[in-house]
Amino acid sequence: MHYIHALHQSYGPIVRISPTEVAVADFDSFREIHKIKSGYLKSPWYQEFGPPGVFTMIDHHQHSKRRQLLARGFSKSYLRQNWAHMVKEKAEMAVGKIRRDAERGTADVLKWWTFYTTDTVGHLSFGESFHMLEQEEVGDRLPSPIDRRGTGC
Amino acid sequence: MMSGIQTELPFLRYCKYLPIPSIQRLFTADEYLLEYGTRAISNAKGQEGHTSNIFSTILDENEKDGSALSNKDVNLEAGNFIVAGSDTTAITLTYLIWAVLKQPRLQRDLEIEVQALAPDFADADLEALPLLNAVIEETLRLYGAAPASLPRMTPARGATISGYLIPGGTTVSTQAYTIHRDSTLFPNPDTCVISFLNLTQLLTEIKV
Repeated sequence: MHYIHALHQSYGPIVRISPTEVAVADFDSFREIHKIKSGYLKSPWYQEFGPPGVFTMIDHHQHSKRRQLLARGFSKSYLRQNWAHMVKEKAEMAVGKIRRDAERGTADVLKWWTFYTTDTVGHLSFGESFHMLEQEEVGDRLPSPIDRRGTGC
Repeated sequence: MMSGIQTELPFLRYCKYLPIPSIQRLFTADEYLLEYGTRAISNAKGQEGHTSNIFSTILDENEKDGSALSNKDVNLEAGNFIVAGSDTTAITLTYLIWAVLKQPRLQRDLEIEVQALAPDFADADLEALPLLNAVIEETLRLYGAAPASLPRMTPARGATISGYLIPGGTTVSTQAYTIHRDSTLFPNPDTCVISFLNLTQLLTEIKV
């Protein structure tokens, strides 16, 4: 990424970076490429992620159908009405833990934010928090391999 | 995280066949996560009339108009949300704290703005705070957690991009890292908080 950034700085917004790939860093072109129904489809790179979900679906119709289904759960009014309270509660707990640790010496901000975001998105997606914030560790509610994602080590 | 790294370095996936338990666990995390997603389904369907997770509303609708979202789909999307919403948000929030603490004047102004909130403030109240929102936008511009290429394919008929004719089926990648530092869009693009207050206005102007 930094290398491609340096190439753009030397050669301008359009740089051919492999026989089959062109890097584009021009805002108007970006908008054209990413607008809906532009004719540009996601590259096969997305298939590397496994079975198609809303993030990786290449077919436009399949994707818009899935997106429409998920949109109900992601509308601002629905989230505010049903979930804002949960998010705020967890945020307050995370901030409280950071404050406590900081007063004792140092606080690992990334660790607490990771517990906060993982508990929150876990609660939203699975219907139950992983309770990392309360337990102050990754704990056994997550299968052990995932702790390496969570704490970033 | 590992699945992201594996898409960049595909050969790494063979590491899971190495006879080292810690490495094997690291590379099979995705499979565990997929298994764990079955709980999303049982919880979503578990309590009638109760919003137990974000899939509940979707599954309710599903019952009415036929099964558009299978258990397998819920499983997959739930797992993806965890990946997409945990490390990314935590990393960006950490950068935000760092960037604000580096600039005592900004920190003071932001604290003054936030302290004016009522104790029982809601999400909508936060949305009305100009400095807080500018700080968030500016953090996402400079330190967003997924600044890489978002590769797309040119249409079969080919395309003209900034005056260059690109043949059909070519990968065009557009990395946010570079566009977010475009000096024609952002004056002094590498400086965090050149003018946090002007940023919101700027973003409205270019209608991102």
